[in-house]
Amino acid sequence: MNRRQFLYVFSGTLAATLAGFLSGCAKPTRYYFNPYVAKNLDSPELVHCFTAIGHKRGAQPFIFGGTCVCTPTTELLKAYHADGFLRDYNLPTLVAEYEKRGIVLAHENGWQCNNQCKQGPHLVFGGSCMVSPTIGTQNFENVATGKMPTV
Amino acid sequence: MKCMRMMVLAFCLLVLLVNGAFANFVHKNVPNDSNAIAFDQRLLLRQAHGEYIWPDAIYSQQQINAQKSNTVRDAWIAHNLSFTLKAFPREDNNFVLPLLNRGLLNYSTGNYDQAYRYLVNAQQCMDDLKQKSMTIAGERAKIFKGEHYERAMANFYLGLMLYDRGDYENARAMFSRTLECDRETVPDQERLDKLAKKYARKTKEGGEEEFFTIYQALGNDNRLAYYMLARTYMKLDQHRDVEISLNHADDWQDVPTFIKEESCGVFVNMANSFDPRPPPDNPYATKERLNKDNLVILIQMGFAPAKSAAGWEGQKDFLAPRDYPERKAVVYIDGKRLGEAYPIFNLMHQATPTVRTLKDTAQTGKAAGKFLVGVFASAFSSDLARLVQDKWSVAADTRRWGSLPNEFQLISARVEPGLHTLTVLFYDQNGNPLPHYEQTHYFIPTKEDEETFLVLRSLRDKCNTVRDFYGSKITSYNPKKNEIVFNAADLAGIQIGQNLDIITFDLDDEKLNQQFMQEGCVMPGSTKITFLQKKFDKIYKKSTVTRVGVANIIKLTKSKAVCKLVEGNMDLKKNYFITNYTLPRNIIKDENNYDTLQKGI
Repeated sequence: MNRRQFLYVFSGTLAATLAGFLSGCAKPTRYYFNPYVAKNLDSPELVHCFTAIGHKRGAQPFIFGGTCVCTPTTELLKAYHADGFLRDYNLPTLVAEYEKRGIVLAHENGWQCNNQCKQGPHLVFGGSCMVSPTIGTQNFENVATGKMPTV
Repeated sequence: MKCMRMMVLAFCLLVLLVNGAFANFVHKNVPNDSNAIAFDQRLLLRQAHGEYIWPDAIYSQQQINAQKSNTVRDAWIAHNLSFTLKAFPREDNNFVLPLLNRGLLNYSTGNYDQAYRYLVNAQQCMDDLKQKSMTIAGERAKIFKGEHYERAMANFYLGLMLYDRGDYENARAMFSRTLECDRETVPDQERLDKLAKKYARKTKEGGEEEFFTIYQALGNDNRLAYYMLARTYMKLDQHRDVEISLNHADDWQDVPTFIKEESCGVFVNMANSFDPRPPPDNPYATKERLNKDNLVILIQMGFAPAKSAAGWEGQKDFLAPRDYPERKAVVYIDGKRLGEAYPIFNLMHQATPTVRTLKDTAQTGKAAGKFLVGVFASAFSSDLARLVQDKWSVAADTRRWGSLPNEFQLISARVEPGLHTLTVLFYDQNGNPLPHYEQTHYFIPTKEDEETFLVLRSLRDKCNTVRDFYGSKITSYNPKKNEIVFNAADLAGIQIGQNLDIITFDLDDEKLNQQFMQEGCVMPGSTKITFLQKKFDKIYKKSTVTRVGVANIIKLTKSKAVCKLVEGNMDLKKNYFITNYTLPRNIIKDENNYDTLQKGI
């Protein structure tokens, strides 16, 4: 190797080392941001009523274009009648109406599924589960306010 | 003069109105992809993907394969298994762990149907499993069946679900079973005698009798199970049993120091800080409160203690607390203070009295055996010695039910029937507020003659109406060409033609801004952000993220992205970031309800 070749190899190696060193020492440019904005203390508007929350007077069943997704009971039907809805329905016919549409009102084993069962999501979000959501969970609040989560 | 007063009054009213309007403005627009709307779904997605739940760190298969020490390798594998949601076949030694983790995840998201199936399956396996107690290999080769406190917790959660469902007879059985599991803390007579003698030697005043009393109390101090048992007996109208259970709901016994040292090793001081002595009287554990209160809230906090391998072959395991900031919870109903939650249960306290039994002696024997065989093998061939070293693991079993909480705090009250907004504010051990842990739940129903029973879990950002996100620092800006350059590797999934938000980040203090520029960055390849989250909890409390413009990607390589500024202006002197997270609003200012609630509204 003559002197010129040696200088080429040497300067090349030095430049590569320096470049590698500089890039290795370069400060990362990816930053993490974690702002926090709390929920309002005033509750939003209650859109859908269901068994855990209690029936909202004046709301008619969701399947008939209303906002009530309460599990049908004799008392509920009386409330519907008092509000002028479903006058020609009795409890078995109303339950049959739900069954005809494949809507699940309660699970055989009696457990709460929080609308995560095979029939889920909740009826108001396009599913066919109308089991009352579990109190204190996010789904409970989403069903009440009609906010559909996007993940 | 009167006119002047009126004007001042009108001005004050106007200021108050404007303040009120501004305070409410930020909270109301909650995007559907925020944690405050999509929290359950995000958790369930982890289960669908067979990922992990609430770990501190997860070790990749590459990291595990590259690890030369089989002690560390085994510890990492056990750590991953402790948080796994991936289902295993019955033949797998670890098949109970995902059942437990999935059970707890489904419980947290309100799917009691699935949670019950998973937990009952796990509980039966843990209770019924019989296996040989000795093996020359590491303890991890055995089927995982949990420690006594983990078995107790599986029974306890089953009890909670049955109680919630109104199946009080079965709930009673589960809570009683929880207490039975807790009594397994008490070792056999021979071991107990040895410990008593040790105790008598260490404490000059206390004798062996005192030690027996202490251990009987330690095996009977699951105050939460007693409290729930009392509530269940109340439902069953067994009032004498209610009183007996309530008497125990206040019992607390300090664990003798030498037992703590045996269980926790070098982590003993940390263990003390995560297992503080609770206030002497539980204000909620009285018959009157059980009768009267129609709202009962259990708040789960923190994470179950970890197990750390120790000893020259990693043959011993020590209990090591997992760090979590929230220690105190104050509950508000419709903005009014309901009270401070009472720390009724601590898993660290339940786990510490676990007596080092025959298993530990056997583990030490195995480690010594391995050493001797290694020495013997090295006399013949170094390869044989290496084979013994690499392939024979005598590492302690550090698998655990990782998703369990460490604490349960309790609050109950009589609340007016109707729908309420429930807010829980969390504080650290020095009483500093933790805004990221704040929880607000709407439409909590309470009834006149029926109790509402809530079990909440404190998790970071659970009710945050904005997401956390990554941004890349803009490395150069050419005002003539209107071009921006940033490191393309910083933002995942970006494409040519995509619009990205340009933001500024301000902490309301120049020094803090500079500190953020130095320390807020994420090291390449690092996925652990807990360190940075702690900084947001402690230092970066008053941040403002402002969208200043929009840029469109025109050139993209693996390392570099060039964008055209299509909206907004940039100042060459300022620091800007670019992000692929679409900000829900132009200005995101840190807002919490601590000031409003603490002052009282």
